[in-house]
Amino acid sequence: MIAVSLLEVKQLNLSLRTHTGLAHILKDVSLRVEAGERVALVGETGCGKSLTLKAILGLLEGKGLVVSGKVLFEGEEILGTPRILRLRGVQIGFIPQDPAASLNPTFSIADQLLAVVRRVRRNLPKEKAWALIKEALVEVAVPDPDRVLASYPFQLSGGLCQRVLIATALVNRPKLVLADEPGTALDVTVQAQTLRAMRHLTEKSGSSVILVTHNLGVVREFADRVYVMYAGTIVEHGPVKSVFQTPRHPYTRALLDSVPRLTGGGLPQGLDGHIPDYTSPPKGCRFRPRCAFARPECAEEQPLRQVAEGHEVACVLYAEVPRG
Amino acid sequence: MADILLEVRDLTKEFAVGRKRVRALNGVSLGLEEGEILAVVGESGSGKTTLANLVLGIEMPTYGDILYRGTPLKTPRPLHMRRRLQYVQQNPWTTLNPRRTVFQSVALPLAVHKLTPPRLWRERVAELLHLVGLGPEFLDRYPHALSGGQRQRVAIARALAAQPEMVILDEPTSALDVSVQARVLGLLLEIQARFSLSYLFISHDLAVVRNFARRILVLYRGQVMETGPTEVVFRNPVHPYTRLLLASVPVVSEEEAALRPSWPWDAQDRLGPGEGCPFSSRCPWAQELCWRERPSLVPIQKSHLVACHFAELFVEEVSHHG
Repeated sequence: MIAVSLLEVKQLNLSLRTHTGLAHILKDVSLRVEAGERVALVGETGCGKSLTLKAILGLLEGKGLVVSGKVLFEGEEILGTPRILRLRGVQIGFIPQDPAASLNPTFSIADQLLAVVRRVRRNLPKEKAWALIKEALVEVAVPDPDRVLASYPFQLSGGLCQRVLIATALVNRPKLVLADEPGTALDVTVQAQTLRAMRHLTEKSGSSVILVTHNLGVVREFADRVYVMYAGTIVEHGPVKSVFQTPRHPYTRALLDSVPRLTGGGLPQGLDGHIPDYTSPPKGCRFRPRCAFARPECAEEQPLRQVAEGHEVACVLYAEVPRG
Repeated sequence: MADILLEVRDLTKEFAVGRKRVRALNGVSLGLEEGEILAVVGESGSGKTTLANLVLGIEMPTYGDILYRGTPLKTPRPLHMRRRLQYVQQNPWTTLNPRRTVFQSVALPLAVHKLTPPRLWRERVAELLHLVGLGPEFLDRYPHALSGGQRQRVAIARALAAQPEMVILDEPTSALDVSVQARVLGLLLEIQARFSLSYLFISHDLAVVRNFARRILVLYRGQVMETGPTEVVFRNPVHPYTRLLLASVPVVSEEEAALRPSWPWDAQDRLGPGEGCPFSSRCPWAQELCWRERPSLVPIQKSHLVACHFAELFVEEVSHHG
């Protein structure tokens, strides 16, 4: 029997009808997540990382979209099928980006957590359900959980709201958690605590995570493997250690070089130019117009090529490296 | 030693929240030398934006003094002061008037301060745009047609139009992508050196501060926790809050990870602070003294000041022997 990945995204393409024409946003995005694995999806604003998450969650139907490709959860197709509705909030949890805007202001925290618990355990006695949600908050290091449960979102700080959302996503022990920039809206000390809580909890429950972020430091601290996205394409992916120690793709290298270092050494150079217009993206490698190493061959499609154990790069510079 | 351009003494600002009075800023003192970059670091609620507003004269201090070249600043600020002291704010999406073209926005200081005769405005604005790396094709564009980085460049050009001596930069790059951030920060450094400007640089990003500012001032709940030359503070962070801040930065390399101080992450927060140190509720080393008494800012070494009762616990051995 061939082992089935927990989640597999195959050749996901996504286009959006706009008034200036069809915007080809995601191009052949493929990724996979194994059980218990923490995977990061990193890229700058507008590279399609949040769209990829929403496509997996089935939150993009209609809306002038043209979608093709496959999203397999435990080997079964969930893209465009009603199956995702049963999985969402049960087997697949979601942690949204903006903590304050993602909780319903008219319900107490307890009501919102209970509603999620009831998706799975409809007949759980009230006391048991209450104990369960209280425990969920304790797990994410919420001080004074009784007060928090009785509160409405506006009575809590951003950090507390974020932890409540993490607790909500994890209370049903989903197999997969999708996190969209958790902690970005928070202070750096609270962000550090939030990420620790998330790592601790998912480790304990054995859940897999896809973490979407623009912060390379967060990737290094949190994830086992990383996918680097540029303009709707995966340009490089591999184990975090391998990618951070020997980044191959010119974009990954430029991105890493743009991060100011705590050790000093002066300001980084940064990168010129901007992401292409999605209605007429460059043929072949989409990074070509900004790339210092661009050659004529870059106008051809660049498949991902293996450069090290589990580390693949979509760049013509590595065409010569033999497979394996 | 260079002259002190801006001096702030014991600055305090209280706001009424319902019946309570909240101290957004509590006895902050600082000095900014001519041609210097001083970073003010803190998280939300630390009072860093209140500090900027007080210096700019947008708000009135409850008490305390703000001196510019040794003279107390009048409120409202006279026109010549408003020219000398410019401001670049955080959010590139709200900083420019959406109904004004880039030319109109950048030319406004020229008109207000009568710096250039009107017939030369276009030429001068084009020159200023060139300085921030934007071509003349941007003159007649509206903000909606610009990216975040381009808007911040326009905001910088507008500040420069007034020919300032000092610029307050309130998180000028926190809304930008890293690749763009690096470019804008590089531009700010270049301009600072070229016109020998003084910057009060407000930020929460310690990695940026490390590479941008010569001196650093760490604020927590309106009070100065630690201040000193950036290199010294990063090498030997003494105040527990500074140590927590540094320990929290997600970094991309082993070398940086090794530089971060360790932090007991599992320690629980305790009772809120009373009269004492504002950090005492989150400080794993807090003692009874810390809850009772607010520590004063005292020098550890020359120009490295810390407000902690137990500062000597965190001063590295090296500095004792060396």
